[in-house]
Amino acid sequence: MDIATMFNKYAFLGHEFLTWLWYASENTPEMLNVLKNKKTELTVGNKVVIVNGTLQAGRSAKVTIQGEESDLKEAMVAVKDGGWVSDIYLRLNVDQVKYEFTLDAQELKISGFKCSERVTIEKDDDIDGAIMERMHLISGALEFIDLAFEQFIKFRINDKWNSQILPDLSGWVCGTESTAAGIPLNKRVFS
Amino acid sequence: MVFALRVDQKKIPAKIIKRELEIAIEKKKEEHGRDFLSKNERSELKEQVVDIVTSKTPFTTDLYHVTWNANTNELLFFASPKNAKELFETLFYKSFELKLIPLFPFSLANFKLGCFTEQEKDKLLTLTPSGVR
Repeated sequence: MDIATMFNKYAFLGHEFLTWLWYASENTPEMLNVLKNKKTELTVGNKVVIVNGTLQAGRSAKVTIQGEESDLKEAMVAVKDGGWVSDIYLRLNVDQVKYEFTLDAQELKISGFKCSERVTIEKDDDIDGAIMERMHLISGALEFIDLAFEQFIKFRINDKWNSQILPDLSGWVCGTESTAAGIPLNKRVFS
Repeated sequence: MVFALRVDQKKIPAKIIKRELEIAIEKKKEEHGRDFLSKNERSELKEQVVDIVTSKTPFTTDLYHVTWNANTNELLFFASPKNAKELFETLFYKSFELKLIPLFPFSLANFKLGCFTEQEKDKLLTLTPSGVR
């Protein structure tokens, strides 16, 4: 299978991942403790784009919720109506470092990247060190995305996706707690 | 390894070409005492206008940073325009005879994340979109 075919055929994985990321950040944040020995906190920021329609056929409509006063309930309604997240603005804290960026579903591409730690260059000799430090900071966010995606794929190929996680996600979207597995959501242990 | 792709190009807004062409057409009509110009004359004038405007327009430079970790075979390209990405892929192949594999959800799971067994990768291939709600 060539790259273009894989890209189109499995485009839904990116959309499902971002939707799950939103769900997990609000309901089961322990699922997102993917960085070893680091305290991680993820929240959804002030922008969510939902696509609604046939993703694989390329026919879709977009709903964008954006702005400081934006209410994500509207985005939730779009998800309830059958949409999937296509872009999401995330705030990620890894220990003391704070990141903000938008993640897109198609390529898991990062845009608008901001990091609370600044790297300053005072002398020419500092350039190499500054580049390494900057790369180290960027890799903190990239590592989180890779490992969170790995976590998602592990769930996605597991039978629990259909029997437990998907019903929970649907319940969250519809505002009704899922009774999947007969255990309340906040008492579940995901492995 | 840290380097950059530099792209110099002249960006000429279509509005400027249109405005300069209108001026050139009026000037030629006045010079020849005519009310209209033929299609060929207009076409020639447009070529002249494009040449003149292009020669007067300075280059604009775009710089896209790249980091390449040769130990992990990972490369980060810091740019979002699709054409910049395609240009970089072509130049990279010409320069190093190495083909870049773009990472998107499926390729990330299949090639980069080394934690999956062959059985799990086979399962990944059978996935279809979830029917939520």
